[in-house]
Amino acid sequence: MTLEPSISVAASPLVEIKNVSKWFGPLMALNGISLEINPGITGLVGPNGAGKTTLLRLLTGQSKPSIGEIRICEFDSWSAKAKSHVGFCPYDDSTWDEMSGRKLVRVSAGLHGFKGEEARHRTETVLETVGMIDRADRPVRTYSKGMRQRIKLGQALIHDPDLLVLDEPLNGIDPVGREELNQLFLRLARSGKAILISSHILNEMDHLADHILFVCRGKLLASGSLEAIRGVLDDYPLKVRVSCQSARRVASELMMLNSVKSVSIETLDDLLLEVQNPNRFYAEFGEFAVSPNIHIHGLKATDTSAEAIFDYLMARSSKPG
Amino acid sequence: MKNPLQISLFASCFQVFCLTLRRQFFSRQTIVITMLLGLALAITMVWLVSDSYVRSPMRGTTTYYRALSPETNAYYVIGDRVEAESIVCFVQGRRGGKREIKARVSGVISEIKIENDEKVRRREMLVRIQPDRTGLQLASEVLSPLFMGFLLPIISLGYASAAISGERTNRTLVYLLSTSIPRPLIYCSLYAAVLLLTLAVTLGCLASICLPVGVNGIEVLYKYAPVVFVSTTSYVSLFLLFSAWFRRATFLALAYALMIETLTANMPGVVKSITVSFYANSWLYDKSLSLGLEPNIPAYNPVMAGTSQIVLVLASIVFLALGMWIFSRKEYD
Repeated sequence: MTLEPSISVAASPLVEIKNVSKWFGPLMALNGISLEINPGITGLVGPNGAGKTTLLRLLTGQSKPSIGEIRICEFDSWSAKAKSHVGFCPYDDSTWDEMSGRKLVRVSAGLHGFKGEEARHRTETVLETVGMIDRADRPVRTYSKGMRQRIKLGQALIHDPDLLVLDEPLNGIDPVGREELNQLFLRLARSGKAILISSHILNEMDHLADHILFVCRGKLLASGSLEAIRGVLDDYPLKVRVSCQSARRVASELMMLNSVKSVSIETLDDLLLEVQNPNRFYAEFGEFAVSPNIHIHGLKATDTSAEAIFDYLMARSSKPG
Repeated sequence: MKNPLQISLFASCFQVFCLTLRRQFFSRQTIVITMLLGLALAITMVWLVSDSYVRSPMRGTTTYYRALSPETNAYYVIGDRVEAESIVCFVQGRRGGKREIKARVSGVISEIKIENDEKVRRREMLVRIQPDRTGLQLASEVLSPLFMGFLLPIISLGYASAAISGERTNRTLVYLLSTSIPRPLIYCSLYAAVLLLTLAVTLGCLASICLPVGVNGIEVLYKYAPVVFVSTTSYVSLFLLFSAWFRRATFLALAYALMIETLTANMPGVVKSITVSFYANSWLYDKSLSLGLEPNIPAYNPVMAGTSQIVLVLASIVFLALGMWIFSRKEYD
């Protein structure tokens, strides 16, 4: 069902991003990103505002890189030819809400140039794939978030694309629905598609992504398997400023923590810590801060490039389970 | 083997066309336009059926006398034709003499309220006349101010300016842009759909205003239809360009239609020559149309009908091309 013979595709990666930067006025959204995407599930992970959506919009030809080049199956991502290889499931829940789910998928089939019997056949196949066949005749505006996500996925799959780009597909979906969608993604990946899933929560990629791209502040910080990324994040050196009462006493006690590499006393109330393993440090520091006779006023990461990771890890460590 | 791609591209464009047609038709714009059209029809109907009354001008109580029709040499009766200068009745003057009362409009006497020799008071209705409605009156009293000056630009901007910016604010434009249709073709399909819908509405609206007037109305309809066709096309091209260019295209188009089209189009000087309505009016004023319309502003100085046509058609093409160019380059969020 693919539109292009896959012989030419096999020779080079499906998606090739070469040194791409994108800025909006003075704001640098992406900064010199180079990567390749191959069949299988790729997770694009980063905190909010890291440039994930910008990257996805570049990939799907919604916007053009300021410099650099993105090639999808050897076509420039802005070109119409590249788009026939890409299915896009945008972040926004808004669709043509007045239509029924079946009509919406049918219209997408039409937009991709399928007619008559072929379009009908594809519509039914896709509705079955995303598990919406029994609810397809209800208007989309009556759908829940999970059902919308499925129907959006349906319209993205209608032309059987080689690359499926999903912008935060698991956002706001309950655990049961999430598990079902994950199974669906895995099935699609097994059928040989490349799936790019963006998320701001690394744990969402558990048992899902073969490959993780970790972006932060418009840069690709790390890429590799989930374990590799976890390792990189865990060993990320971090400078932390702690303000407290009786700094000297606190400093000596902080030196006892395993994760703290060095402590220097900045002023009477401020300490500057160098931390090797932030994740472990936050766990240890949490226990330390509640111990008697210790009065901690504040904790702040001073390394601004790591601030987002800091926030991210804070959010992750505060999550139950 | 070359054909399937072309056919499917055509199918894609046709889908964009149908989708746009459907989404624009079932939209808030249609409700607003229907309301405006209803209002315009109501105004036309009131204009059409509103009768002219001849009232007693004299203070105090006077006596009413019926007048003779000069043609038949008998009293005017219901159904008789009168001209503006015809004397339809007399009332008693202050010193016993009779004072002539003229019809002031041409038309047909539809009612005589007072019997001969009856007493009448000041302002009392004497005779009701149903005025003639000529094509010229229709054109100058209803079509020019109400339709050409207001409804036509409003209908065009309602559909055209919402076509792209509406999908954009609705965040559904991305579904059109992530298909494999080249962007200029998406724009052309959108344009075709909006143009068809707008033309259907404007021409339908013109017909529904003209037809109740009768034979004269049909004559005016034939003369206005080409002007409406071409100026609608120009407006749609312009407002769809706005829509492709700006996020808040409707407000901008509304500002343009109300400020520039309405204000400057009626100004003497060369400023008005940037407006669509100037060329539409010039075309209508042209003597060759023999509608007999006169510019109501002495310094209006219209151009020739041929020039107007060329300018409007060229403007449409330029706006369409510019819109395609902008749409295929712009990054929509």
